[in-house]
Amino acid sequence: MKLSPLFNQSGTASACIRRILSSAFILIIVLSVSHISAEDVKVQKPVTPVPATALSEVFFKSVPDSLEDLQQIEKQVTSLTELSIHCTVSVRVGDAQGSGVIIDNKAGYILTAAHVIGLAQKNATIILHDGRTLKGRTMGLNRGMDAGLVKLVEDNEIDISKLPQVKMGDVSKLEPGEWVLATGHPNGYQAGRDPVVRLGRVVSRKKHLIQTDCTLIGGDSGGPLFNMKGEVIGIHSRIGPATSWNFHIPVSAFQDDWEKLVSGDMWGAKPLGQNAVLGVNGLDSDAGCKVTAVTRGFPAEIAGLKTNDLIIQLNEEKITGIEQLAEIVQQYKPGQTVQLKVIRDKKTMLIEVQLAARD
Amino acid sequence: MSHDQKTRSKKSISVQFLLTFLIIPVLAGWLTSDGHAQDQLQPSQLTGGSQIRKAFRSVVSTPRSWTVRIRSNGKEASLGAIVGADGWILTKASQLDGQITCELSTSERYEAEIIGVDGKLDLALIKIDAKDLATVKWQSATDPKVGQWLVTPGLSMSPVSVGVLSVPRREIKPEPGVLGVRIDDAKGGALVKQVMRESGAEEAGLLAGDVILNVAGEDIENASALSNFVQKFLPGDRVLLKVLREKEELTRVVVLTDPQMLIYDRLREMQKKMGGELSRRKTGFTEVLQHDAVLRPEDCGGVIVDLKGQAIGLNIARAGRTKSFAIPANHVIPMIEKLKQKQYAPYNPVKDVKEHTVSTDTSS
Repeated sequence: MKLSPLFNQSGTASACIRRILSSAFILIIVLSVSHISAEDVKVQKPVTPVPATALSEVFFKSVPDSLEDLQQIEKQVTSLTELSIHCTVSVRVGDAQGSGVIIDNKAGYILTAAHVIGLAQKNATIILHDGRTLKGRTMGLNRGMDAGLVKLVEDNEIDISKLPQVKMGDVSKLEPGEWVLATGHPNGYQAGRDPVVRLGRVVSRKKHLIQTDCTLIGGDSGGPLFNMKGEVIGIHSRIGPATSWNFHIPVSAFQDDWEKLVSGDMWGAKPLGQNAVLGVNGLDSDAGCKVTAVTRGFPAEIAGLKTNDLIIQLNEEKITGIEQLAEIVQQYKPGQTVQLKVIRDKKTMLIEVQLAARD
Repeated sequence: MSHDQKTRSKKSISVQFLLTFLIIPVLAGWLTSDGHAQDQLQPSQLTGGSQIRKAFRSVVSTPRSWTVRIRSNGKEASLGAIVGADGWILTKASQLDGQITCELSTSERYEAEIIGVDGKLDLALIKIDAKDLATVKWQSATDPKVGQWLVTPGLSMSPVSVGVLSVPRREIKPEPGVLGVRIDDAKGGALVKQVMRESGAEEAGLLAGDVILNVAGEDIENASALSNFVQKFLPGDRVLLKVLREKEELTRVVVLTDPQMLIYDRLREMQKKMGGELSRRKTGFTEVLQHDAVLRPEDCGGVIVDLKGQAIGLNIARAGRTKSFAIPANHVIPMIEKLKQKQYAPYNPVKDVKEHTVSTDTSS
C-alpha cells in the first residue's frame, strides 16, 4: 500500500489506519496538469561529492558477529540521530499529511514524496521537529518515481538559513546489506513526539526503488532514509505486507531531474492504481508494434524504450499492433512488471517494464 | 444508540483525498522477474534476522536467565521477568487468562499464581514455587539514547528480537475499550443485538439476545449507560458482566477490545498482513520508551536490555507496525513491592479511570 498522507491534525493512529483501509481502492485523479513555471530560483543541483569518511569495518561485513561490531554500529547510529531528527519535517498539503527532509536551508528545499504534495504550486504547511511551523510551496513532482519538492517560504520569525540541513548522498553504489536509518512522522505529526527513528538494512536495490527493513507506516511518506554517513539516500514511498517490505525512492530521482523539479514541472504516471499503462504510441507493422513516441515519465521511457523500437512480444503474448498491445497491457495491473521483446537496430533485446497507472 | 455506532461516528473521517494503493502486485512481479539471489538480502541477515540476533548472544547470556516464558491455558501468552529470587515474576497483565505456567531458561516448568495486577501499567506480579533464581539487574539511572540498541531476550541463546530506541520516553494517552457488541435498550439493562467477530464479547461467549444487567459492579440502566460506563476502561481490561439469558442470570468475564480492531474486518486482516498482530492493550501508559523491534504480542512482558545486558525497561505492548513500547525501569521497580504487598488501588474505574487497578481473580 502506498504510505498514505494522513488527514487532519486530530488523526490518531487508529483513525489513520481506518482511513487508509476504508479507501483502499479509491484513486486520486489529478485534474489539471499545468506546468506553471516556478519562482526565479537559481538552479543548483545540491549534489556533493562523497567525503572519504572512514566507516567502521562492521559496515562492510555481511553481518555483525561480535559485541564490538554491535557497539560500533550503535556508536555510529547514535552520532547521526540528532541531525537526522532535526532536519525531518512534517509536510501538510491540503488534507494530505506526510513527512519531508530539509536538504538546502539557503533555498529552503525540502524533499518529500509526490503523493504527499499532489500538485505543483500549492501551499504547504511545514512543521519542524520542535513544533515550529513554517509555510511552504510545492514545486515539481515526478509522479512516476513519487519524488516531490517543496520550497520553504521566508518567515519573519524563523531564519530559514539557520535550520539544520542534510546532504543527499550517492546512491550509485548502494547495495543490499547497507545499514540505514529512517525518520519520519508515522501516523502523522504528534505534538510532543520527535520524528521517529528506525534502524534497518537495505534488502534490495532496484534502479528506481530501495527496499529496507526500516518499518514504515502511513504518515512516513516523504520522510528521509539515511546512510551511515548521515546523508539522505532515499525518500519513503510505500510498504508491503511484511515488515521487511518498506520502499523508498532513491535520491537519484531528485538529483537526475533537479532542474525540472525546481522549475515546478510535473510529470510521470502514478505507480499504483487501477488501469495499467505502458506509455507508448505506435503503429501496426508486419512484425509487431513500432514505437512512434514514448511518453515522458511513463513506464516505457523509464525502462529505456525508444522511438523506432519494434515491440514483438509482451511476456508470452505475440504483439501485432498498438491496439492489441494496449489490450494486452490491460490484462495486467499497475505495479506489475512485464517483459517486452524488442527489436532495435536489428538486435533483439528483452526489456523489463514496471507498469504504472493511467489517470 | 449502539455502542459500536457511537464509536464509529465519533471517528469517521472523510476519506476522499486519500491515496492508498496496494503494492502486492508490484512485488509479485519482481519476485518472479528477478532471479538474482545475491541482489536480495537473506532473511537471516535482516535486522531482526537470525544471523544478526546471533551477534547479540553475549548480550543476553545473563538476561535470558531472568526471563521466563509464560503460558496461559497451555498457549504462549507473554514473557516474564524474574524480579525476586524466590519466584516473583513480573509480566504483562492483559495477556494472562486461566491456568498460568512459567518455563525458565533452564527448561524447568512451574505453575504460577497471580498475586496482583496493576491496570495502569498493565503489569501483573505472579509467583512460582522456586528458590535462588537469577533476578533482573535494572538500569534506571539514565535513559538510552535514541538509536541505541534495545534487545529483547527470550529463553534461547539468541534474543527474541532486536531494535533501537525510536522515541525518548513519553506518555501514551488511553483509548477506551469496547465489549464488541451492538446494543439496544432493554428492560433493566442493555440488549445485545449482535456480537462482533473476534471481540472480547465473542470470546466470553455472549450471545445476541442476552441482556447485560451489570458491568464491574455497576448496574446498567440502558444501552447508553452501558457504553458510557465501558468507555472508562481500556482495551485489555477484564470486566465482570452479569447477563440475563432466557430468564437465567449468568456471569461472564469479558476482555475489552480495541475498537479499531472491530470497525472493519478488512482492517484486521490488513493489520495482520502489514506487520503482524498487535497487543490487545497498547495505549494508556504514563511513560514508555518506543523502539522498533518487531515483537509478537506474546513476546511482550519481559525485560528489554541495552548492550551491557542491563534491563532498561519491560516490554509492554506491540503497538503498531513501526512500534513496540517498553515501560522504563524506574516505573517498573516500585511496582514490584507494591504488588507484593498488594498495595494496589482497589478496583474502582468510576472514581479514577487512569488509576484503576483490576484484580484478575475473577477469571471464569
